[in-house]
Amino acid sequence: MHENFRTYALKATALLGVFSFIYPAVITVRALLFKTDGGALSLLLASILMTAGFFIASAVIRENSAFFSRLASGKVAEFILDKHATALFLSGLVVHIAALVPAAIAAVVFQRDGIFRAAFEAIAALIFYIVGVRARYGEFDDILNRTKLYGGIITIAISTAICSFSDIRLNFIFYAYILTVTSMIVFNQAGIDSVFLHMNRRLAGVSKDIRKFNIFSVLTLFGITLLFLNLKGIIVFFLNILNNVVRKGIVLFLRALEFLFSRAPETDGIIGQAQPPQLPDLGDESGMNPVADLILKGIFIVIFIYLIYKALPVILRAVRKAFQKVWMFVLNILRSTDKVEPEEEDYNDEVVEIKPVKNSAGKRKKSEEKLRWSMRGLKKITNPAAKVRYIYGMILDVLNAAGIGVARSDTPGEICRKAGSEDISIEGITKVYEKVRYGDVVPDAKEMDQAEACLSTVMERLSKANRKPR
Amino acid sequence: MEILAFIIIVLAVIGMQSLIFGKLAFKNLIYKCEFSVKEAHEGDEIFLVETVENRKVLPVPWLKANIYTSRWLDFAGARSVVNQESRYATSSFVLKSYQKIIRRWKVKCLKRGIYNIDTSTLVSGDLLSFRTNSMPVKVGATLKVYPAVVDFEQYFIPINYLQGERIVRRWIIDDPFIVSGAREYTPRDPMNRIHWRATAKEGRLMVRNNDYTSRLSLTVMLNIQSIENEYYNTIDKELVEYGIKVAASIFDSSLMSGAPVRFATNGTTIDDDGKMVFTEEAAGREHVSMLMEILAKLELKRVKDFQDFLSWMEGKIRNCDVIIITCYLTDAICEHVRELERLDNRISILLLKEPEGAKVPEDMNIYVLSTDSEKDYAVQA
Repeated sequence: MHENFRTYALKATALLGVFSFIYPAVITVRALLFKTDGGALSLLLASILMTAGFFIASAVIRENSAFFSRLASGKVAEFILDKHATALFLSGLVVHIAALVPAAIAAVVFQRDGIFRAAFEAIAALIFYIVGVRARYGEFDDILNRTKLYGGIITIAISTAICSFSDIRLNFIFYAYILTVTSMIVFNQAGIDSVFLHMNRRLAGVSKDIRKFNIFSVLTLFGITLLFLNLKGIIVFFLNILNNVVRKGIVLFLRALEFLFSRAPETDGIIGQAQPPQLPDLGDESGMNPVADLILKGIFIVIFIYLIYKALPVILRAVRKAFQKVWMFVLNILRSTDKVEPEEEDYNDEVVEIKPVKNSAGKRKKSEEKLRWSMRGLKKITNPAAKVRYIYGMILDVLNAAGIGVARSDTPGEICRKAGSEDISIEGITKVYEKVRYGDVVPDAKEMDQAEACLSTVMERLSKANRKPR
Repeated sequence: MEILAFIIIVLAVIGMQSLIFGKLAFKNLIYKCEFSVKEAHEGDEIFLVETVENRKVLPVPWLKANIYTSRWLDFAGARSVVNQESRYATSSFVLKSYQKIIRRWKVKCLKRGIYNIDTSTLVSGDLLSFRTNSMPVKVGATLKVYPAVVDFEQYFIPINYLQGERIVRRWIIDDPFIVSGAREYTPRDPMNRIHWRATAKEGRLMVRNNDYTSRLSLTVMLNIQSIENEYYNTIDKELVEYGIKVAASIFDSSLMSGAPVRFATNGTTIDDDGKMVFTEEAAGREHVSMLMEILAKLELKRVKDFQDFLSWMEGKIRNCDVIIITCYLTDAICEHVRELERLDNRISILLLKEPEGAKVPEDMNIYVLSTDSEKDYAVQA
């Protein structure tokens, strides 16, 4: 069932791509001939006709249709169609002939605009309907293949050029976006199908995870494209916001100063009374001192980049969580009718995050410096329980510095296992720490020695690892 | 102009991503493939473990690993294609930044043999498949699949039973323990070891004292031919394969009993072309593993006719228990067996199929493979 859904979804995507270059061509011709683009109504009509053609063809054209099988086995059909008298052919023929219906409807709707307009709209309706019907016959990568993509780009470019030379105000950038993103998705999915199923169509299909990740990556790529295209506008937008915020802040500050100085008492006999500070001429928003403008813009760019660097991961995490919630909500609504696919039975996967190994000399030196400071702090602690906790904290720092990822949610036992998997034994200190931390037990001298010995061993082992040539 | 700028930017972005993914897809990408065990038996289920690590920020949107192995390692189901003696399986991955995936395939060992996966091919590329790269990776995974062990004492019946005579059930291999007297009871001895007759006689608690038998060594001879006049390749492979399983079962039994054992056959192994197998006699796990490995590597083709092989063996073994596993029996073979018996060898013959019309000698211990393995033959005096 999911495989069918995927097939239809990809076909619909490919069809959308095809629509995105046929429609601009049609409205360009319409605008040239009839000085009108048709508006939202013609867009709606065209999309409905193409969609209807696709779904009608998908629903009606079947090899095993009972109705058409009976019709095909009739003597009349056999006499007329000979070897083509099959349910598939007959159902296809009927659907194609049915294209006259939308053409007739379009002609009737536009008959008041003249016979030529009616004829044009009938032909346009026919084209959209037939394109939708033909999509039933091919795979998604046949509906929108490279030839059609190049043809589409040329069509949009020519339409844009014609509109530009004819002073027709039509902007096809939105259709170019649609064509680009749909063709990227189609080529990506066709590409991975080709690689994984090449010469082995009998093999099981590509994993769902790969498809999802690839579609997400393609949409991200498209987002990057849009970002590059509108980069100047985006930066100017944020710079203007920052500019206004800083300007208004300065103005408020100076107004406050002015207010304070105006409240100061008058002094007699003093020549040349101090004047309250005047507001500097910051200029209006339309004209600025160019040097000041350049300096301000430089500062704003630096601040902007820094804020993006810090804020972007947080924003992305929040957006991702929000999307996940919405998606789960949608799935929960749909789940009542959908069956969940069974888990893979041929294999099972274990996914592990690898922490990047910080192996630069500068970072090693920094972590060693931090450890030396920590050692000095350790000597000052006299309370045994506090000392054990401090030692355990130092060991966690050492493990993090060595690239063994210690998460906040990890228990001491889990940390011990993670360290053990890297051949670092901290069982001794873990036992003592658990007693101290959760049992409020005061460690005895033997346990203190054990804790300190564990710390020395860990530090020695890791400093040896750091000294090894990489 | 906007359209033109958009087209240029799209082409630039597509080109950049093709370059980046094409060049960097395999950078800091580690792939390993190994079996979960080094040795297994026929019918065992083990794991083939693939480990892929992406140690960089750039994710790998798709990665295909092609694994080529033998068709007798059954795994991957619908993801594998079997072609003659090979199996080709595809493993697909998607790896995010700094991610490791450990994939465990369930593998069923269908047949004995030594199986290697020497190399695997990794394929990756950019998002729009404008650029696809492949890279061979040395894997070096080896698996030894030993023949399955069968309960051969259950499945072989004395030939006399077929001829309607009273049978004396003998174990093909004797029980290793005999009672060698009695000794005084100690608190460590279990109550079921008490020797009541000795206790009554001595007037104090006595227990049985066990000892190993002083055993003759065991030689297993396998006839790789399935019929008398067979040149080169074995015809009835299934039957001879069963014979190999029986040999494996005897080795397994001798390991448990601690008896020294050796193996001889008129066939050869895949890495010893043209040379018949005649091993040293020894006991212990290492030696039996070596014998199992020989069985795993055994090819179903003869080097010498079996009767010539027996003639060659005559001077080489003395005072041994000998078990001959063969699909057929001829007069010439029987003569050679008698000759071996004259050299103080005690010979048992395991026939893998009932003799057709041939007269079976009455002076030999011959057991034949039962067609009905569920029958139980009671021991009769």
